[in-house]
Amino acid sequence: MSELADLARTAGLEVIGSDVQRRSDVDPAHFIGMGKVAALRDMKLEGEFDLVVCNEDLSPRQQRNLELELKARVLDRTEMILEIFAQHARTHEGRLQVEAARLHHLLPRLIGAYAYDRQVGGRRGGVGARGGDLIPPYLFAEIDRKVQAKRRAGVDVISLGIGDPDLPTPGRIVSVLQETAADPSNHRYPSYFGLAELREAIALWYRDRSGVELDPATEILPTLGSKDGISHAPLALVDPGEVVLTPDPGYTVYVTGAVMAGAEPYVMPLTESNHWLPDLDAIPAGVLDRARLMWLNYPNNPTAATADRGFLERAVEFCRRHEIVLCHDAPYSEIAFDGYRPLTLFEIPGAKEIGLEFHSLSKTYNMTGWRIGWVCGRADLVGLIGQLKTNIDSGIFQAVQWAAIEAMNGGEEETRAACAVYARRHRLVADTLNSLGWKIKPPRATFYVWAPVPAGYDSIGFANHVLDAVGVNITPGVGFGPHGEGYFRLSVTAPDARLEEAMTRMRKLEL
Amino acid sequence: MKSTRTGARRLDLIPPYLFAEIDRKVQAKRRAGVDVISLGIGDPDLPTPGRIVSVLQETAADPSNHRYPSYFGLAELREAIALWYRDRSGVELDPATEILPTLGSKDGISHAPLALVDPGEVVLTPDPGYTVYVTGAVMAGAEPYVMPLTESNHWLPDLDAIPAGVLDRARLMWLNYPNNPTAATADRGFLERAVEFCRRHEIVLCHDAPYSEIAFDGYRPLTLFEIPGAKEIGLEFHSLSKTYNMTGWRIGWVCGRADLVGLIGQLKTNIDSGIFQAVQWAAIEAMNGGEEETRAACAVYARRHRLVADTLNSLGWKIKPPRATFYVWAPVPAGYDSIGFANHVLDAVGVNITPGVGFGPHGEGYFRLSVTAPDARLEEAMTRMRKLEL
Repeated sequence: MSELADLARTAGLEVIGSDVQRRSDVDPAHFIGMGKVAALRDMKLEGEFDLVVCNEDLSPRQQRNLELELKARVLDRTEMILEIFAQHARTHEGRLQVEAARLHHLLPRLIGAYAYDRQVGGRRGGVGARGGDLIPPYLFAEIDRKVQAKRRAGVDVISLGIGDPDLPTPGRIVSVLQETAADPSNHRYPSYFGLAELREAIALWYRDRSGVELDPATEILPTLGSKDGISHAPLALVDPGEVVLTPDPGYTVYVTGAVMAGAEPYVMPLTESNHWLPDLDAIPAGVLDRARLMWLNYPNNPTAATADRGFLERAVEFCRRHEIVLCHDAPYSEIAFDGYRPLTLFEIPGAKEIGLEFHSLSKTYNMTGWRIGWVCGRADLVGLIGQLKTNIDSGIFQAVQWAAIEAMNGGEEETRAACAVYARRHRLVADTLNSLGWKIKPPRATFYVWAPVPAGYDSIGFANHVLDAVGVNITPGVGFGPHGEGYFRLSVTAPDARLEEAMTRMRKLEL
Repeated sequence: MKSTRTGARRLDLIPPYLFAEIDRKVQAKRRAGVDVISLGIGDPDLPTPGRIVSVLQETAADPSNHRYPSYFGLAELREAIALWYRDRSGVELDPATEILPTLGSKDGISHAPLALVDPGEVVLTPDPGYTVYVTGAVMAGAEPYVMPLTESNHWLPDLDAIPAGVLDRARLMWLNYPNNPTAATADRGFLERAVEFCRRHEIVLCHDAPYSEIAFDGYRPLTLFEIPGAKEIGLEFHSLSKTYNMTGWRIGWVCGRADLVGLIGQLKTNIDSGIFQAVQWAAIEAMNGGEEETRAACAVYARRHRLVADTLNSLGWKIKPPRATFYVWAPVPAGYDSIGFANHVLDAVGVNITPGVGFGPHGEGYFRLSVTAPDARLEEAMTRMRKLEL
């Protein structure tokens, strides 16, 4: 026990006491006996401690139960040691190894972990929300708390943290919702598989957009936003113990969806030197043997990178060869500038034989709040997700589906106008950052700016500095995974005047 | 793919969702020109009240509702729910921590085991029952353990019949009263025993209560938290679908013990991005009134229940109209199993009813019929049923 106390002190903790319990066998629910739990709870009520470290490994359930009972964070020995490594890892590679080890240890604990510390009613955490619990724990919650605290203290914080279009949903779409919501036929259960008219509108849109035919009956499934499809796809397609390949930095739901399915996420690093594309040949054969699903996302969140035809062709060929379902998340397919037209997956020959593509109406039609999107691609895979989802939801409010049909039957002009706004804002941000010494070019797609943090900062430190110094909220890159360290993300979805004000403030930054 | 299968093995453990299957069959009949009357699904035929639609129309035009909603629902909605619960049941719920709006109660029910149960642990599920209790457990890698509901025990589970070895691993128990599919109700004595039982065995008691307001002749179903101590171990799942004729709108909530509600909320931040705020404002409008509307709807269901009971009794059944829900649960005639009888009724007179076995093996020998078809259609269905050869 004295060794554990030393370890705890090394991690920067103050040790206020220790205790040993002798038992003939371990309590499966709490590790220690309920009497001991009650005694600890009393101590906690008197404010004597806020962390418990156990000198043996705890099962996820034991850890969770103890946290629930004690209303305090509970670590086991392995986590304690990982914490120390994390604090002392100096090199980038060292930090990655620690993160990987910590991830591995945290996986079974992700769901339901740290019960006492959640803030119900809190604001969203930038991206994949509390998926941010994974790397590093509490990041988004901490940012949240800081921003709220600043605001309470009277600071006019400008948030460039979330990719949520500030432009309103076009009036024609709202009108259709208003009309169809008054029709009682839309008050009853929708079909599980979406209105035939919606699936047909999607097929038409896809044909006009990409020159690819999709069968509305079998190759298209409307979803409650693309996140619904993304988070549930591994439950439908992947068995426990199989591998899901996830880009890092990336949308955290790729990882948490895999974890929910009991699968093992395997990180594909995205690096600037490789143009933020994964190096497929670097994935070990042993991983590929168990890999069942690969996530790609271009135009990319958070890096704003795009994928050319050559890369997508290689990815399709690679996934065909290794029998991996290629899942392409494409919510930003229409948010592109200066004549650039992102490729959709099925423009690549052969992609439909192994692939799925996830779309959202959120970004294209300023409909983030409406929660509607779709998954399309290989029919049996689409069907499996549909089959799973019959057990999870009861379809999408039909009035919203009719509004989505209206959205997709037009809107090219609106999207073009919105993209012109984003392009102008991107130039403003690039000009501002470049005047401060950065050397960035406005991106070709997405409403994100992804840029390195200045020398001397890590990504959390820089985000804190910007928030403290000038009241602008940006997202630290490490929130998207360890490989996002060293970068920050900024979203140009704030109203013009606010973004201009933010840039005026940024020019005053001392770096 | 790498093996002959393409889907996850867990899908093999999930039977095709009953209603999706029935949907396909009815569609085929209709394509063949048959005028099928569906009494298969509990989907109110009455429209959503106009005042609720109006609020949706107004709030959908407000750009502040076009952006991401909070993961945890509008504070105003959580407060409206707390107020409703207090008025309804005399129980205080903390809107900040004890209430979480969901995309229909099914969202909460299907995801609760993913948030609360580890692989290898046991989820206790009533049979016959809503199939999502089982499939939710399967999705979480947990082991569903069937609690048979039998007519001789008034369609209540026999808690003492659950083996000790199962209870050791049991983490969650589903109850659902007023009950789907049996239309049974639970009295205070049973609910008190269930709460005491789950406290003793450290089991999360999940009460699915979408039919709490659909009751007749002055009967007022108990909500879980009217039972002392229930909130220390319990969750209750509610829906606006049945109470306000809003099945299509996909909104409900889960409430109860704060840390459990919080865990479901935490899980759901990884799954959805909240509920369209215009729908939330409509839900607030729904909950701030509507007792008269619900009473009127219940009067309609009660009248329809009498019609169905009279019809079935004239054919030789001996049933009483239920005290709650819009379901009729009755035995199939001798010589039929439940699927055979449902097929017979569909083929012979074009009426779609649900075979009891669709709710689990212990539903075999019964069928369920929902009185949520418009009066004229239900009357036509009953006229046709009278011509059935049994």
